[in-house]
Amino acid sequence: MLHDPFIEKTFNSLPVQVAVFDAAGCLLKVNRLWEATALFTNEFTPFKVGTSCLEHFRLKALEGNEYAARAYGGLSDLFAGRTEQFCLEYCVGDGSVTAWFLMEAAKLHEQGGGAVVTCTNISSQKRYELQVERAKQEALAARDELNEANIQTGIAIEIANELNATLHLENRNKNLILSTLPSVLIIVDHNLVVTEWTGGSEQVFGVPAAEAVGRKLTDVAITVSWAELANAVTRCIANAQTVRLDDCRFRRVNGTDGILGITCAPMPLASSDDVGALLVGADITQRRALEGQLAHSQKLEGIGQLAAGIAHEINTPSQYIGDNVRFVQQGLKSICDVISVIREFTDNHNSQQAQELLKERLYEAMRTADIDFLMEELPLAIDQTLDGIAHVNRIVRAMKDFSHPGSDHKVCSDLNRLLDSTITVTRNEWKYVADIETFFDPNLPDVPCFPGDMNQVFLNVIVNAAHAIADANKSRSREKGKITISTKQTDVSVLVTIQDTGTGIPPNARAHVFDPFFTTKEVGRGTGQGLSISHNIIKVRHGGKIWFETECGVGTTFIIELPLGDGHSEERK
Amino acid sequence: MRRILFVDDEPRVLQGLARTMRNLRDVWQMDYVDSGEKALALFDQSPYDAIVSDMRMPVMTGAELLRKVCDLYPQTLRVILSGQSDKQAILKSLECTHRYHAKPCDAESIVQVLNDAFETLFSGATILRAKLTGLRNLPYRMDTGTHIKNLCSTESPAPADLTKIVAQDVALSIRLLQLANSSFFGPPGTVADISSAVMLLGADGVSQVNEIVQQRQLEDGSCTPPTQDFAQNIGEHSYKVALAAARIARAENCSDASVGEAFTAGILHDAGRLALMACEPTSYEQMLIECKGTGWDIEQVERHLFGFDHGDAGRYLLSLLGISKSVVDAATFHHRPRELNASEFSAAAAVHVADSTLRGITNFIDCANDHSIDVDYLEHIGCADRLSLWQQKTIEELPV
Repeated sequence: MLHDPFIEKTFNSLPVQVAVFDAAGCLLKVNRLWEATALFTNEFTPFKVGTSCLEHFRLKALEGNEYAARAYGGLSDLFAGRTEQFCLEYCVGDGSVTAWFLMEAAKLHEQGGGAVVTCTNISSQKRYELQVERAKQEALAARDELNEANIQTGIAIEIANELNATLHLENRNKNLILSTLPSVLIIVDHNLVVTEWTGGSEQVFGVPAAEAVGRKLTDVAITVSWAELANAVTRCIANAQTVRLDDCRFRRVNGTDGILGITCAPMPLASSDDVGALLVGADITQRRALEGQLAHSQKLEGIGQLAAGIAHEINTPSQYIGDNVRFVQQGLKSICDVISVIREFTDNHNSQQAQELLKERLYEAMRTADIDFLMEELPLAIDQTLDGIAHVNRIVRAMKDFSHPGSDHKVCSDLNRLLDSTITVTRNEWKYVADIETFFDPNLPDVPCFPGDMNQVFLNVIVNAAHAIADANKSRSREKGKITISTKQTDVSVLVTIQDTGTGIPPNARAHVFDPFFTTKEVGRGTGQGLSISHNIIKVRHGGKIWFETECGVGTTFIIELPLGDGHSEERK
Repeated sequence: MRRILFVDDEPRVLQGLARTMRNLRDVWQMDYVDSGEKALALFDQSPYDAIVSDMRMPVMTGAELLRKVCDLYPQTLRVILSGQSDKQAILKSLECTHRYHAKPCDAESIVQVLNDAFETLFSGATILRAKLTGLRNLPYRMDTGTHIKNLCSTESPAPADLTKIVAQDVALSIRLLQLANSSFFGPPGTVADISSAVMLLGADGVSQVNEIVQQRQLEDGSCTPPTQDFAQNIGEHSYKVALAAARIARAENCSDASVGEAFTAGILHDAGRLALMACEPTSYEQMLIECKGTGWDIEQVERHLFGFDHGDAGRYLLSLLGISKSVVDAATFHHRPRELNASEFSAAAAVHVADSTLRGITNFIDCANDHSIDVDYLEHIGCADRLSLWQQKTIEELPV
């Protein structure tokens, strides 16, 4: 059956990883996706055709892997015919979260039995679950603080429950379903007059449908950044295209500022031939806050990893500053000894004989003091001390720049300086494996950005480059690699290029580079969040682009493009 | 004149050191190089008495350099001087390092470390130095290793429980004390007590050291049955001596610190036997078999065969690793306590009585009759009348 070309083709184009086993648990076949994603799959399920998966899991379970123990138990039952199905969520990566998979196994009744096992990467769901869990925790915490919040949380939970229930009932009254949706659902006609005000609109804005329907959208009694919203809706209707607003600020029912995420889709109107717009949106304030927290925690993690390196960077100059200053102290004492003899020599007008004696003593004092050595070395010792202090200052200043608390608004920043700080604080991560060469455009204009976020992106990319070079150095000669960082301006944007001479990204990992929790590094060297967060920072927070060019064995170049801004979307400080 | 080589990839560190060390130029001949390769080339011309190396360097790290030096020039004293604050990285050089020193530090403290270690290095007989300085590790009990691994994998293991298991393996206890007494974990040479060392390093520190020691043991193949049995025998006996010595010290109303010291000295008292076993596995094992039941003085046989006895070996090794002198003395004069010239009770007396008493009644490896208690010595320190109480303390709680 498996050799039928049609089945074969279908089998190979399935969007999930599939493996087929015979009745004894021996692997018959895996599909193409399974092979293509072997990078991850192999860690937990490195099946070989003809070998038993039960034996594999039994051995792995003996090593103490609890997922393997569960897989072994479940699959044994399945192959023994005690159960029909089995599923297991497991995590790949030793302890720390790297990637989550869902394994589903089902008994085959044809062809003498056997089983089909599929594996699905559920890392992003897991991440979402994590966020939801945190959101829930926050909601619970907020409940304790505010009574008002208490009511809101109650409502939210009710709506969510009701929605869940509703969705399971088919063909229920459409309006009922719409009214229970937590999302904002607004329909406006071509004159921006509201025709539908439903879903969560009442809850989110605190305005009942009766007071909104029939009015012009801009006249409804809500506080929202109208310019942006109206602009989006007008563009949507005029160009008949979907327009997305990610950062629409509005006043929430409780009076606090919130962020609304809205999609405007062109919508033919029932009443006329004109085209109106459907606005679907949600209060994403909480999500934004969570994203912010996630990014912040990744940043802290980055700083934590750097801390040991920075300590090392500071300890080294401290060592030679101390040594040099102590040397100056000793040297000064020796020089004073010489000077006291000179004083005697010049102050006293002694006999010729006494003068001769003093001269002898002077020579002796100079010899003891090692005066030639001191004259040569003291200035050097002072210079190097000052160098050392400058070095420590530079690190401290870069640290300060780097740990910039971040502002709510974009700030026009000098990317060259941000890069410089990041290079300084990460020095200990790369200096043993690579040299960094910079080609900064001296005339680079300031770019509106969140400097703290940009530092984080640069940190992630530079540390990745250093790791890739360290891996490459292992296999080739042990010479240092090179990281080349350049900045330049185009008509509308600024480009930052970070190029390394590392291993390059293997073809099967390229598509996943920006996926959350994706990592090819060993445990403890990264959580797989760095580039995913960087991607988010560049794309969502800055409306820019980040991409890479890579060749195995040659290296990888990351390119970051930030728009220069046209003067109205960012606030200058 | 002692010859010392300093290695650091930062030339300014070397120049700074050279300047402050210059006033010692009549005492020591010092050279400074900025890479491991250059260091080895200089060694090739003429080996040094001591090497002081940075840890993180490009191409060849300090750990790699010291490993090579240990293989090629085993008699050289090996010191790490590093600004590294990452525990993991420090532990990487564990097996080949005698002393650790943290940057930044002043020249005097480096001089002190070197002088201190030199005192040991050149005190012993040349033969002692040749054999023990290049020693990488002592026979270690794989069974305690597994215990520790299991305990550390539980959530927040109690330090007391951890100490209890650690104390049953001599090799591991020595490593922990060596690290705790290095300047990475506070003022050097101040941790005399194994339970403080465990506290200082923490469960993950202990677990990491344990893993490194275990790994090393697996690599060098010394986990063979005779060596394992020997390590186990010594470990069990030493732990009994440690408990007994602590009870004796407590009976003498000693402070907690002194009780801890007596306990620790008990653990370490036979470190020299392990060292001899590690240096000369075949002949030491042969010797033990041949001595059994003969009533010979084991220390005399050791001196005859190897040029030094296990007391000397233990003292040399422990001092070289920077373990505090009071513990080392109490631990390693256990056969000849009177050589300490003490005039009052000390941990040495407790270890002496506990060890002699236990060897008299238990089936310890050597059944030679060298377990006699030095009554004259006890009289000298004014404790002769305490002997029966101490012996009673020694055998109480003894598992049958």
